[in-house]
Amino acid sequence: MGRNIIWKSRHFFDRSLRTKLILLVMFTMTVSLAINLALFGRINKTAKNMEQVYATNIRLGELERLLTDIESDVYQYLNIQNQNALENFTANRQRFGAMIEEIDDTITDHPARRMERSIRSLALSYLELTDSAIEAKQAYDAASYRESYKEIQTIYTYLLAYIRGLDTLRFKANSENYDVLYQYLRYLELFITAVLAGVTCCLTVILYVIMGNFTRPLEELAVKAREVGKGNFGISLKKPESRDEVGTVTEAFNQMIVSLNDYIRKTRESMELELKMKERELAMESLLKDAQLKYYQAQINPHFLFNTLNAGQQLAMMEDAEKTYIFMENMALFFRYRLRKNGEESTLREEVELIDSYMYIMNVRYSNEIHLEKQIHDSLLNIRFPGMVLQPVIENALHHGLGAVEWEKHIWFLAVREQGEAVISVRDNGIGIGEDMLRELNHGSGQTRAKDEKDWGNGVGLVNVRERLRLYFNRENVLTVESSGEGKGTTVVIRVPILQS
Amino acid sequence: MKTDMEADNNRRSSTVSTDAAPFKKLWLFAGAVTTASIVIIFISYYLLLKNHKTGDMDYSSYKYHIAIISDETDTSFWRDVYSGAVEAGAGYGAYVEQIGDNLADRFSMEDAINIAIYEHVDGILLRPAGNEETQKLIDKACSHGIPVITMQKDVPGSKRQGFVGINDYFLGQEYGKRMLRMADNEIRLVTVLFPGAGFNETSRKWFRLGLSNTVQQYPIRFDFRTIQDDRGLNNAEDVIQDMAEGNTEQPDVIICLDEVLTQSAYQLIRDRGLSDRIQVIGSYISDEILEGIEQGYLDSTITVDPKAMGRLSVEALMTYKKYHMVSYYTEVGVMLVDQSWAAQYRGEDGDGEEHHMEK
Repeated sequence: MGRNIIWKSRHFFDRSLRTKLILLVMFTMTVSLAINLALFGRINKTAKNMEQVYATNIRLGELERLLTDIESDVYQYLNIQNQNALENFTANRQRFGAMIEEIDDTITDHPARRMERSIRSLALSYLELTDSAIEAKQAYDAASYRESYKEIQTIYTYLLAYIRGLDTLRFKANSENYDVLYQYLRYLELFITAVLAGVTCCLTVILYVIMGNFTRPLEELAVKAREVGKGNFGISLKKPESRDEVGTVTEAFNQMIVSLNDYIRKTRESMELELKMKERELAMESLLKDAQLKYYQAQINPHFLFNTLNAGQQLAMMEDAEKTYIFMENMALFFRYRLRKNGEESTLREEVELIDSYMYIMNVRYSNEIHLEKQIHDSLLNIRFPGMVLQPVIENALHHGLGAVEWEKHIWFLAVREQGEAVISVRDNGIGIGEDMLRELNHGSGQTRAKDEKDWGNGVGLVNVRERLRLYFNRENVLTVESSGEGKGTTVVIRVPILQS
Repeated sequence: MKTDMEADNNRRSSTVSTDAAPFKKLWLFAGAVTTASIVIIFISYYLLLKNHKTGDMDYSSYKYHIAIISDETDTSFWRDVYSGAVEAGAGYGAYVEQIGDNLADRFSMEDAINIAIYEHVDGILLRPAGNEETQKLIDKACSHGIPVITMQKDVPGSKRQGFVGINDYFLGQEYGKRMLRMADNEIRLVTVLFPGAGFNETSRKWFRLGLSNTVQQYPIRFDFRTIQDDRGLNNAEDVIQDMAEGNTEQPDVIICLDEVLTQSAYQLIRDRGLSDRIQVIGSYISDEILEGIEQGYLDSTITVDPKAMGRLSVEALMTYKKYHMVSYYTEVGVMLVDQSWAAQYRGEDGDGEEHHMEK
């Protein structure tokens, strides 16, 4: 039952506001109308009841007139044997008799009915006597009709007394009824006023409550809108109570708040991303600047250097010193590359060429002590790669790994494809790295970097290489340093995605 | 932000589950108001209906129509007779009607009997006036097949079917017995006031006989006077005043043989402060007479039990209707109400029970 009511109420509350208002007004008006109708029906019924009190009453005026006429007819006929009078008597007697017959013969203690019955009985006796008197007259029985006429006159006075008595009684009763009706109507008037006032109050309260239910969501919405206006987007949303216009507005408002929140979140995310990118750019820039600065410090005037090297090459040619010529050429290549590719994008092939030049120069310097073995997958030669990255790794292996060893110095350069990525490893058979140092290098801190730079002097440290690789490929794990311990060599592994040029 | 939204969702889902509550409340409220209104309207409706009913009259239907006729209908004694008859009549399904009682102009007793005859009533209860006309009318009614029962006073020569009351000889004896109780006070002269209408020559004769036979061993003189009715007024006051003022010999006891005479005597005795010298034995009973007895202005009153008389008359009539015969004389008990019984009488009055009877 309760569920049913709630369902119905839902049904009602889901109607449009206009329908609901019209239904409400109709409801209140119907209730008012029904009560009014009931009350007026009551008045009507009362009035009818009043009329019915004497509904069976005979028409006294007519009865009295007929009686008087009959009396006069009888008198005239008995006295002067007027035939007209006899005809009149017959006609009047018939009507009088019919009226008398209509009267209820039940014996009651009702004052008026009891008198009516007396009138009926007396009238019947009266008619009986008149009939016998006229018969006697027609039979010329003078003594008999004279006797009857005396009685007729007696009953006539009784009848008149009763008719007038009834008339008076009826007047009295009607006056009393009027008083009762009047008082009753006054009472009814008060009652109706009270009922209408009560009903109006009740309906007003119901209207107030129901209308409040309609408008409350709007007020709540207004409060929430004000909060949103103040910039508080984190307000709790309320599910619309109904599917009317207010419900629609609430839903739209909720949708708006959700969309706004979504928009704000997206904006914030994109701003954060932008900020990150800017930070990265700045970091890259600063690293490059750092590297550049170092190189500038180490740079001789490039034109001077190239001119010098060219002059050296020409001199070597003239002297047929082929080895010197090649050395000079490699020197020139190396420096040109370094100058050109400093901070620029390159390919693996160019990087390897640079390593070759570098190793040539170094082997000249170290009397071919260092053996570089390269194994490069062909498909990787043309991948994009940041410039000036691999040479510092080789340089690092030469200086730190192999700088102080007595045995034969080897560097293995390996570039292979692994799980769709390029894996470049530079291994040496040098002094290796202790565990602490290894940890420092792989989980590098600022200290390492400072030390790194200090140790390397003109070179570019591993940390710098790692940072550039990270920025270029936008990933964290690009470079790892591995070593099995002191005297067991070091391997630097670079693992980067393959970017075809 | 994200957590905010989640919290929102939680809150929303929680509000959904409690959403029905305000509606339920609202409908409960509306239901209560509507129910209250309906209850109020219904209660008021029936109250109005009840109130309205007073405008109409409840009435009953009867099988028989009995006319009850007396030439003096205004006394409380007669009203008691009438109410006794009405109560008894209702038991038989008979409506007892005082002919012409709601007409402005009263019919004479003769007219009333005539009307009852012309109305073909089922029976007539008559307290007759002692004249010949009454006897003729009783005979007329009987010839029309309407049984007549006389009450209180009989019309011996008529064809009436029965008589309910006490005969005058017995009544005289009752007064005599009362006098015997008062005899210590050396009663020398007793004045008896007969109402002219109620006591005809025969009645007076029987009453005198009954009275004097009872007190014959005492030397009491009687002064019998008949008070004449003159269109409802009588000369009782003059007669009593003459006695009070000593214009005639002042009696020790006055016997008043109807209600009006008793009340006149009481009034005069009280006004003149004669209660020490003259004692009054009245007839019948009314509030005023009871008051007089209680205050000591009247010695006592002797009365037939009016309600019993009414009842017995109806019973006699209905017995006749049923068996076409009834005992010729039904005696109604007589009671003496003195100071010691007045209060009790007051208490019992109206319940129609038998009172202190003395025969």
